Amino acid sequence: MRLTVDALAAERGGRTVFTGVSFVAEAGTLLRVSGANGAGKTTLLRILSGLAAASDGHAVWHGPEAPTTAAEAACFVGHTNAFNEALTVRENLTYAAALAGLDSSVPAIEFALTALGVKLLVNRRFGTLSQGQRKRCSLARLLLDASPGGPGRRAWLLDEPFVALDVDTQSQLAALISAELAAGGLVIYTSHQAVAIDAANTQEVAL
Amino acid sequence: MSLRSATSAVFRRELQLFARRKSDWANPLMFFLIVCSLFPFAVGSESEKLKLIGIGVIFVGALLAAMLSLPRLFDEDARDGSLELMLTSPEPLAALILARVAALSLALGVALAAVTPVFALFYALPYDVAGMLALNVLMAVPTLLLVGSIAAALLVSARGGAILTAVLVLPLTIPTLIFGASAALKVLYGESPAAELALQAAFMLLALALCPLAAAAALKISTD
Repeated sequence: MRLTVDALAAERGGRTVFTGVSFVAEAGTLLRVSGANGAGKTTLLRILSGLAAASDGHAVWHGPEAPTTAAEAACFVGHTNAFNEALTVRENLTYAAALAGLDSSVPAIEFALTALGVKLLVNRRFGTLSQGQRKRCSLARLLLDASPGGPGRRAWLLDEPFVALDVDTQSQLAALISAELAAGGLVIYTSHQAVAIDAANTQEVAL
Repeated sequence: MSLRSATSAVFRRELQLFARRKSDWANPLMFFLIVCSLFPFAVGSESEKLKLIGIGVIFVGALLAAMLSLPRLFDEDARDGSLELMLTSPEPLAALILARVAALSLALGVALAAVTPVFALFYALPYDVAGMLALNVLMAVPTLLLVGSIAAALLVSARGGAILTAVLVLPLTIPTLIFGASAALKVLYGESPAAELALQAAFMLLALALCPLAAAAALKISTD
Protein backbone atom coordinates (compact mmCIF):
# COMPACT_ATOMS: atom_id res chain seq x y z
CA MET A 1 0.00 0.00 0.00
CA ARG A 2 1.23 3.45 -0.87
CA LEU A 3 -0.15 6.97 -0.66
CA THR A 4 0.93 9.66 -3.09
CA VAL A 5 -0.03 13.22 -2.33
CA ASP A 6 0.76 15.78 -4.96
CA ALA A 7 0.44 19.57 -4.56
CA LEU A 8 -2.62 19.20 -2.39
CA ALA A 9 -4.51 22.34 -1.39
CA ALA A 10 -7.57 22.78 0.80
CA GLU A 11 -10.13 25.45 1.52
CA ARG A 12 -12.49 25.77 4.45
CA GLY A 13 -15.29 28.29 4.16
CA GLY A 14 -13.61 30.13 1.29
CA ARG A 15 -10.31 30.49 3.18
CA THR A 16 -7.20 28.66 1.99
CA VAL A 17 -6.01 26.33 4.75
CA PHE A 18 -2.91 24.92 3.10
CA THR A 19 -1.42 24.64 -0.38
CA GLY A 20 1.28 22.64 -2.06
CA VAL A 21 1.37 19.66 0.28
CA SER A 22 3.26 16.81 -1.37
CA PHE A 23 4.59 13.57 0.06
CA VAL A 24 4.75 9.85 -0.58
CA ALA A 25 4.08 7.38 2.20
CA GLU A 26 4.94 3.72 1.82
CA ALA A 27 3.59 0.77 3.77
CA GLY A 28 5.28 0.37 7.15
CA THR A 29 5.63 4.11 7.66
CA LEU A 30 4.47 6.12 10.64
CA LEU A 31 3.60 9.55 9.34
CA ARG A 32 2.92 12.37 11.76
CA VAL A 33 1.11 15.43 10.54
CA SER A 34 2.20 18.41 12.58
CA GLY A 35 1.18 22.03 12.60
CA ALA A 36 -0.35 24.73 14.77
CA ASN A 37 -4.05 24.84 15.62
CA GLY A 38 -5.97 25.65 12.46
CA ALA A 39 -3.14 24.59 10.17
CA GLY A 40 -5.41 22.03 8.55
CA LYS A 41 -4.31 18.74 10.10
CA THR A 42 -7.84 17.43 10.43
CA THR A 43 -8.72 18.77 6.98
CA LEU A 44 -5.79 16.87 5.48
CA LEU A 45 -6.90 13.62 7.14
CA ARG A 46 -10.48 14.19 5.99
CA ILE A 47 -9.29 14.67 2.42
CA LEU A 48 -7.14 11.53 2.61
CA SER A 49 -10.10 9.53 3.92
CA GLY A 50 -12.38 10.81 1.18
CA LEU A 51 -14.65 12.79 3.50
CA ALA A 52 -13.69 16.17 2.09
CA ALA A 53 -12.64 17.29 -1.36
CA ALA A 54 -9.33 18.97 -2.08
CA SER A 55 -9.48 22.35 -3.79
CA ASP A 56 -6.40 21.47 -5.84
CA GLY A 57 -3.92 18.64 -6.30
CA HIS A 58 -4.37 14.88 -5.84
CA ALA A 59 -4.17 12.26 -3.15
CA VAL A 60 -3.98 8.77 -4.64
CA TRP A 61 -4.06 5.48 -2.75
CA HIS A 62 -2.30 2.52 -4.36
CA GLY A 63 -3.34 -0.96 -3.37
CA PRO A 64 -1.14 -4.01 -3.85
CA GLU A 65 -1.86 -3.99 -7.59
CA ALA A 66 -3.78 -0.95 -8.75
CA PRO A 67 -4.88 2.47 -7.48
CA THR A 68 -7.80 2.18 -5.14
CA THR A 69 -10.34 4.45 -3.49
CA ALA A 70 -9.92 6.07 -0.10
CA ALA A 71 -12.99 4.19 1.09
CA GLU A 72 -11.28 0.88 0.51
CA ALA A 73 -7.75 1.90 1.44
CA ALA A 74 -8.16 3.80 4.68
CA CYS A 75 -9.89 3.74 8.02
CA PHE A 76 -10.46 7.14 9.61
CA VAL A 77 -10.89 7.65 13.35
CA GLY A 78 -11.63 11.27 14.08
CA HIS A 79 -12.44 13.37 17.13
CA THR A 80 -15.86 11.84 17.41
CA ASN A 81 -16.32 8.21 18.29
CA ALA A 82 -18.77 7.46 15.48
CA PHE A 83 -20.79 5.23 17.81
CA ASN A 84 -24.44 5.67 18.70
CA GLU A 85 -25.14 5.98 22.41
CA ALA A 86 -28.36 4.00 22.36
CA LEU A 87 -26.74 0.93 20.82
CA THR A 88 -24.40 -1.55 22.45
CA VAL A 89 -20.71 -1.70 21.65
CA ARG A 90 -21.26 -4.88 19.66
CA GLU A 91 -24.10 -3.39 17.61
CA ASN A 92 -22.03 -0.30 16.86
CA LEU A 93 -19.00 -2.30 15.79
CA THR A 94 -21.07 -4.68 13.68
CA TYR A 95 -22.54 -1.68 11.89
CA ALA A 96 -19.13 -0.08 11.34
CA ALA A 97 -17.68 -3.33 10.01
CA ALA A 98 -20.58 -4.01 7.65
CA LEU A 99 -20.44 -0.48 6.23
CA ALA A 100 -16.70 -0.67 5.68
CA GLY A 101 -17.10 -4.02 3.93
CA LEU A 102 -15.24 -5.84 6.70
CA ASP A 103 -15.88 -9.02 8.60
CA SER A 104 -18.71 -8.25 11.02
CA SER A 105 -18.80 -11.71 12.59
CA VAL A 106 -18.75 -12.20 16.35
CA PRO A 107 -15.13 -13.50 16.49
CA ALA A 108 -13.84 -10.54 14.46
CA ILE A 109 -15.48 -8.07 16.81
CA GLU A 110 -14.36 -9.86 19.95
CA PHE A 111 -10.82 -10.02 18.58
CA ALA A 112 -10.76 -6.25 18.09
CA LEU A 113 -12.22 -5.51 21.52
CA THR A 114 -9.85 -7.93 23.25
CA ALA A 115 -6.84 -6.23 21.69
CA LEU A 116 -7.92 -2.96 23.28
CA GLY A 117 -8.80 -4.58 26.58
CA VAL A 118 -12.51 -3.78 26.44
CA LYS A 119 -14.01 -7.13 25.59
CA LEU A 120 -16.13 -7.10 28.75
CA LEU A 121 -17.95 -4.00 27.51
CA VAL A 122 -19.24 -5.74 24.40
CA ASN A 123 -22.89 -5.81 25.50
CA ARG A 124 -22.94 -2.46 27.29
CA ARG A 125 -24.76 0.48 25.80
CA PHE A 126 -22.25 2.91 24.42
CA GLY A 127 -23.92 5.81 26.25
CA THR A 128 -23.17 4.25 29.66
CA LEU A 129 -19.40 4.13 29.13
CA SER A 130 -16.78 6.59 30.35
CA GLN A 131 -14.95 8.81 27.86
CA GLY A 132 -11.83 6.64 27.93
CA GLN A 133 -13.81 3.44 27.46
CA ARG A 134 -15.67 5.03 24.57
CA LYS A 135 -12.47 6.01 22.85
CA ARG A 136 -11.07 2.50 23.25
CA CYS A 137 -14.19 0.87 21.84
CA SER A 138 -14.15 3.31 18.96
CA LEU A 139 -10.49 2.54 18.24
CA ALA A 140 -11.42 -1.14 18.04
CA ARG A 141 -12.73 -0.27 14.56
CA LEU A 142 -9.13 -0.14 13.41
CA LEU A 143 -8.51 -3.74 14.34
CA LEU A 144 -11.54 -5.19 12.59
CA ASP A 145 -9.60 -5.99 9.45
CA ALA A 146 -6.57 -7.22 11.37
CA SER A 147 -8.50 -10.19 12.68
CA PRO A 148 -7.31 -13.58 11.42
CA GLY A 149 -8.60 -14.22 7.93
CA GLY A 150 -9.56 -10.58 7.39
CA PRO A 151 -9.14 -8.78 4.05
CA GLY A 152 -6.14 -6.68 3.09
CA ARG A 153 -4.76 -4.02 5.40
CA ARG A 154 -6.13 -0.54 5.39
CA ALA A 155 -4.14 2.54 6.29
CA TRP A 156 -5.01 4.07 9.64
CA LEU A 157 -5.86 7.76 9.67
CA LEU A 158 -5.93 8.87 13.29
CA ASP A 159 -6.94 12.36 14.31
CA GLU A 160 -5.67 13.01 17.84
CA PRO A 161 -5.97 9.36 18.90
CA PHE A 162 -4.37 9.89 22.32
CA VAL A 163 -6.90 12.43 23.57
CA ALA A 164 -9.01 11.19 26.52
CA LEU A 165 -6.83 8.12 27.02
CA ASP A 166 -5.03 7.42 30.30
CA VAL A 167 -1.28 6.79 30.28
CA ASP A 168 -1.64 3.00 30.23
CA THR A 169 -4.01 3.08 27.28
CA GLN A 170 -1.80 5.54 25.46
CA SER A 171 1.08 3.09 25.61
CA GLN A 172 -1.29 0.26 24.66
CA LEU A 173 -2.38 2.19 21.58
CA ALA A 174 1.24 3.05 20.79
CA ALA A 175 2.05 -0.67 20.93
CA LEU A 176 -0.89 -1.46 18.62
CA ILE A 177 0.36 1.14 16.15
CA SER A 178 3.87 -0.34 16.29
CA ALA A 179 2.50 -3.83 15.68
CA GLU A 180 0.47 -2.55 12.74
CA LEU A 181 3.53 -0.88 11.23
CA ALA A 182 5.63 -4.00 11.72
CA ALA A 183 2.93 -5.99 9.92
CA GLY A 184 3.16 -3.69 6.92
CA GLY A 185 0.47 -1.14 7.72
CA LEU A 186 0.55 2.58 7.12
CA VAL A 187 -0.38 4.92 9.96
CA ILE A 188 -0.96 8.63 9.52
CA TYR A 189 -1.78 10.57 12.68
CA THR A 190 -1.94 13.96 14.27
CA SER A 191 -1.15 14.50 17.91
CA HIS A 192 -0.44 17.30 20.32
CA GLN A 193 0.83 14.84 22.87
CA ALA A 194 4.35 13.46 22.72
CA VAL A 195 3.71 9.74 22.88
CA ALA A 196 6.63 7.51 22.02
CA ILE A 197 5.71 5.10 19.23
CA ASP A 198 8.17 2.43 18.24
CA ALA A 199 8.54 2.58 14.45
CA ALA A 200 11.21 1.66 11.92
CA ASN A 201 10.25 4.35 9.39
CA THR A 202 8.94 7.67 10.55
CA GLN A 203 8.06 10.67 8.47
CA GLU A 204 6.70 14.08 9.34
CA VAL A 205 4.59 16.42 7.29
CA ALA A 206 4.49 19.96 8.60
CA LEU A 207 1.53 22.12 7.58
CA MET B 1 -22.66 -9.38 -1.37
CA SER B 2 -21.04 -6.68 0.65
CA LEU B 3 -23.56 -4.16 -0.68
CA ARG B 4 -26.25 -6.40 0.74
CA SER B 5 -24.56 -6.70 4.11
CA ALA B 6 -23.98 -2.94 4.25
CA THR B 7 -27.56 -2.02 3.38
CA SER B 8 -29.00 -4.64 5.71
CA ALA B 9 -26.76 -3.33 8.51
CA VAL B 10 -28.12 0.18 7.92
CA PHE B 11 -31.69 -1.12 7.82
CA ARG B 12 -31.28 -3.16 10.99
CA ARG B 13 -29.59 -0.37 12.92
CA GLU B 14 -32.39 2.05 12.06
CA LEU B 15 -35.01 -0.39 13.35
CA GLN B 16 -32.94 -1.11 16.48
CA LEU B 17 -32.74 2.60 17.23
CA PHE B 18 -36.43 3.05 16.55
CA ALA B 19 -37.32 0.23 18.91
CA ARG B 20 -34.90 1.27 21.62
CA ARG B 21 -35.71 4.93 21.91
CA LYS B 22 -39.32 5.38 22.84
CA SER B 23 -39.31 9.06 21.93
CA ASP B 24 -38.60 8.13 18.30
CA TRP B 25 -41.99 6.57 17.79
CA ALA B 26 -43.90 8.05 20.72
CA ASN B 27 -43.34 11.70 19.72
CA PRO B 28 -44.82 11.46 16.22
CA LEU B 29 -47.73 9.38 17.50
CA MET B 30 -48.46 11.81 20.35
CA PHE B 31 -48.30 14.72 17.94
CA PHE B 32 -50.68 12.91 15.60
CA LEU B 33 -53.04 12.21 18.49
CA ILE B 34 -53.03 15.84 19.63
CA VAL B 35 -53.77 17.22 16.16
CA CYS B 36 -56.56 14.71 15.52
CA SER B 37 -58.20 15.03 18.92
CA LEU B 38 -58.29 18.84 19.07
CA PHE B 39 -60.13 19.46 15.82
CA PRO B 40 -63.46 17.82 16.72
CA PHE B 41 -63.69 20.09 19.79
CA ALA B 42 -63.08 23.19 17.71
CA VAL B 43 -65.35 22.23 14.81
CA GLY B 44 -68.32 20.91 16.77
CA SER B 45 -70.19 17.64 16.60
CA GLU B 46 -72.13 18.07 13.37
CA SER B 47 -71.26 14.74 11.79
CA GLU B 48 -71.37 15.64 8.05
CA LYS B 49 -69.01 18.56 8.53
CA LEU B 50 -66.76 16.45 10.76
CA LYS B 51 -66.47 13.72 8.16
CA LEU B 52 -65.32 16.10 5.43
CA ILE B 53 -62.86 17.89 7.70
CA GLY B 54 -61.68 14.67 9.32
CA ILE B 55 -60.17 13.23 6.17
CA GLY B 56 -58.04 16.32 5.63
CA VAL B 57 -57.07 16.73 9.27
CA ILE B 58 -56.00 13.12 9.68
CA PHE B 59 -53.95 13.16 6.52
CA VAL B 60 -52.24 16.47 7.28
CA GLY B 61 -51.65 15.33 10.87
CA ALA B 62 -49.95 12.13 9.68
CA LEU B 63 -47.71 14.02 7.25
CA LEU B 64 -46.67 16.57 9.87
CA ALA B 65 -46.04 13.80 12.39
CA ALA B 66 -43.82 11.98 9.89
CA MET B 67 -41.96 15.20 9.26
CA LEU B 68 -41.01 15.36 12.93
CA SER B 69 -38.78 12.36 12.30
CA LEU B 70 -36.84 13.92 9.45
CA PRO B 71 -34.08 15.53 11.54
CA ARG B 72 -33.21 12.17 13.05
CA LEU B 73 -32.25 10.83 9.63
CA PHE B 74 -28.81 12.45 9.63
CA ASP B 75 -28.51 15.03 12.42
CA GLU B 76 -27.75 12.70 15.27
CA ASP B 77 -25.28 10.74 13.18
CA ALA B 78 -23.54 13.95 12.19
CA ARG B 79 -23.21 14.88 15.85
CA ASP B 80 -21.78 11.60 17.08
CA GLY B 81 -19.66 11.08 13.97
CA SER B 82 -21.28 7.88 12.73
CA LEU B 83 -22.32 9.67 9.56
CA GLU B 84 -18.64 9.40 8.60
CA LEU B 85 -19.02 5.63 8.56
CA MET B 86 -21.67 5.96 5.88
CA LEU B 87 -19.70 8.56 3.93
CA THR B 88 -16.48 6.55 3.94
CA SER B 89 -18.16 3.28 3.04
CA PRO B 90 -17.07 1.76 -0.28
CA GLU B 91 -20.75 1.09 -1.05
CA PRO B 92 -22.82 3.71 -2.91
CA LEU B 93 -24.16 6.30 -0.51
CA ALA B 94 -27.54 6.45 -2.27
CA ALA B 95 -28.13 2.76 -1.54
CA LEU B 96 -27.29 3.26 2.15
CA ILE B 97 -29.62 6.27 2.37
CA LEU B 98 -32.36 4.29 0.66
CA ALA B 99 -31.96 1.47 3.20
CA ARG B 100 -32.17 3.97 6.01
CA VAL B 101 -35.26 5.75 4.69
CA ALA B 102 -36.87 2.40 3.92
CA ALA B 103 -36.43 1.24 7.53
CA LEU B 104 -37.78 4.50 8.93
CA SER B 105 -40.70 4.50 6.46
CA LEU B 106 -41.59 0.98 7.42
CA ALA B 107 -41.51 1.65 11.14
CA LEU B 108 -43.14 5.06 11.05
CA GLY B 109 -45.55 4.27 8.21
CA VAL B 110 -46.89 1.19 9.95
CA ALA B 111 -47.16 2.99 13.30
CA LEU B 112 -49.05 5.96 11.85
CA ALA B 113 -51.25 3.83 9.60
CA ALA B 114 -52.12 1.57 12.54
CA VAL B 115 -53.54 4.43 14.62
CA THR B 116 -55.25 6.18 11.68
CA PRO B 117 -58.46 4.08 11.84
CA VAL B 118 -58.73 4.82 15.57
CA PHE B 119 -58.47 8.55 14.97
CA ALA B 120 -61.02 8.19 12.15
CA LEU B 121 -63.55 7.29 14.85
CA PHE B 122 -63.24 10.82 16.27
CA TYR B 123 -64.69 12.07 13.01
CA ALA B 124 -67.40 9.40 12.66
CA LEU B 125 -65.81 8.13 9.44
CA PRO B 126 -67.07 4.78 8.13
CA TYR B 127 -64.72 1.79 8.27
CA ASP B 128 -64.00 1.67 4.55
CA VAL B 129 -62.99 5.34 4.50
CA ALA B 130 -60.80 4.80 7.57
CA GLY B 131 -59.14 1.85 5.87
CA MET B 132 -58.51 3.86 2.72
CA LEU B 133 -57.00 6.66 4.81
CA ALA B 134 -54.71 4.19 6.58
CA LEU B 135 -53.59 2.75 3.24
CA ASN B 136 -52.84 6.22 1.91
CA VAL B 137 -50.93 7.18 5.04
CA LEU B 138 -48.86 4.04 4.57
CA MET B 139 -48.07 5.11 0.99
CA ALA B 140 -47.55 8.80 1.74
CA VAL B 141 -45.05 8.37 4.58
CA PRO B 142 -42.32 6.84 2.36
CA THR B 143 -42.86 9.56 -0.26
CA LEU B 144 -42.57 12.27 2.36
CA LEU B 145 -39.49 10.75 3.98
CA LEU B 146 -37.81 10.21 0.61
CA VAL B 147 -38.40 13.79 -0.47
CA GLY B 148 -37.53 14.96 3.03
CA SER B 149 -34.24 13.09 3.01
CA ILE B 150 -32.94 15.53 0.40
CA ALA B 151 -33.76 18.52 2.60
CA ALA B 152 -32.47 16.76 5.71
CA ALA B 153 -29.22 15.97 3.90
CA LEU B 154 -28.82 19.55 2.70
CA LEU B 155 -29.46 20.98 6.14
CA VAL B 156 -27.61 18.41 8.18
CA SER B 157 -26.46 19.94 11.47
CA ALA B 158 -27.62 23.39 10.36
CA ARG B 159 -29.12 25.64 13.01
CA GLY B 160 -32.88 25.85 12.79
CA GLY B 161 -32.73 23.06 10.24
CA ALA B 162 -35.98 21.45 11.38
CA ILE B 163 -38.18 24.38 10.36
CA LEU B 164 -36.28 24.96 7.15
CA THR B 165 -36.63 21.27 6.31
CA ALA B 166 -40.39 21.56 6.72
CA VAL B 167 -40.48 24.67 4.51
CA LEU B 168 -38.55 22.86 1.78
CA VAL B 169 -40.46 19.60 2.00
CA LEU B 170 -44.09 20.60 2.49
CA PRO B 171 -44.67 22.16 -0.95
CA LEU B 172 -43.31 19.02 -2.60
CA THR B 173 -45.73 16.81 -0.71
CA ILE B 174 -48.86 18.64 -1.86
CA PRO B 175 -49.61 16.11 -4.65
CA THR B 176 -49.39 13.30 -2.11
CA LEU B 177 -51.76 15.19 0.15
CA ILE B 178 -54.26 15.90 -2.63
CA PHE B 179 -54.38 12.34 -3.92
CA GLY B 180 -54.42 10.80 -0.46
CA ALA B 181 -57.28 12.91 0.79
CA SER B 182 -59.29 12.64 -2.42
CA ALA B 183 -58.95 8.84 -2.47
CA ALA B 184 -60.61 8.76 0.95
CA LEU B 185 -63.28 11.26 -0.21
CA LYS B 186 -64.07 9.06 -3.21
CA VAL B 187 -64.65 6.12 -0.89
CA LEU B 188 -66.85 8.32 1.30
CA TYR B 189 -68.98 9.16 -1.77
CA GLY B 190 -69.03 5.53 -2.86
CA GLU B 191 -66.85 5.97 -5.93
CA SER B 192 -63.73 4.08 -7.00
CA PRO B 193 -60.43 5.53 -5.68
CA ALA B 194 -58.35 3.59 -8.22
CA ALA B 195 -57.03 6.64 -10.10
CA GLU B 196 -55.92 8.42 -6.92
CA LEU B 197 -54.24 5.29 -5.61
CA ALA B 198 -52.39 4.78 -8.88
CA LEU B 199 -51.15 8.37 -8.83
CA GLN B 200 -50.17 8.06 -5.18
CA ALA B 201 -48.16 4.95 -6.00
CA ALA B 202 -46.61 6.69 -9.02
CA PHE B 203 -45.37 9.52 -6.82
CA MET B 204 -43.93 7.04 -4.37
CA LEU B 205 -42.05 5.22 -7.12
CA LEU B 206 -40.78 8.45 -8.62
CA ALA B 207 -39.47 9.53 -5.23
CA LEU B 208 -37.97 6.09 -4.73
CA ALA B 209 -36.03 6.36 -7.96
CA LEU B 210 -34.79 9.95 -7.69
CA CYS B 211 -34.60 11.01 -4.07
CA PRO B 212 -31.83 8.74 -2.73
CA LEU B 213 -29.49 9.92 -5.50
CA ALA B 214 -30.28 13.57 -4.81
CA ALA B 215 -29.97 13.05 -1.05
CA ALA B 216 -26.57 11.38 -1.47
CA ALA B 217 -25.32 14.29 -3.56
CA ALA B 218 -26.72 16.78 -1.04
CA LEU B 219 -25.12 14.96 1.88
CA LYS B 220 -21.73 14.99 0.20
CA ILE B 221 -21.99 18.72 -0.42
CA SER B 222 -23.15 19.61 3.06
CA THR B 223 -20.55 17.53 4.91
CA ASP B 224 -17.61 18.53 2.77
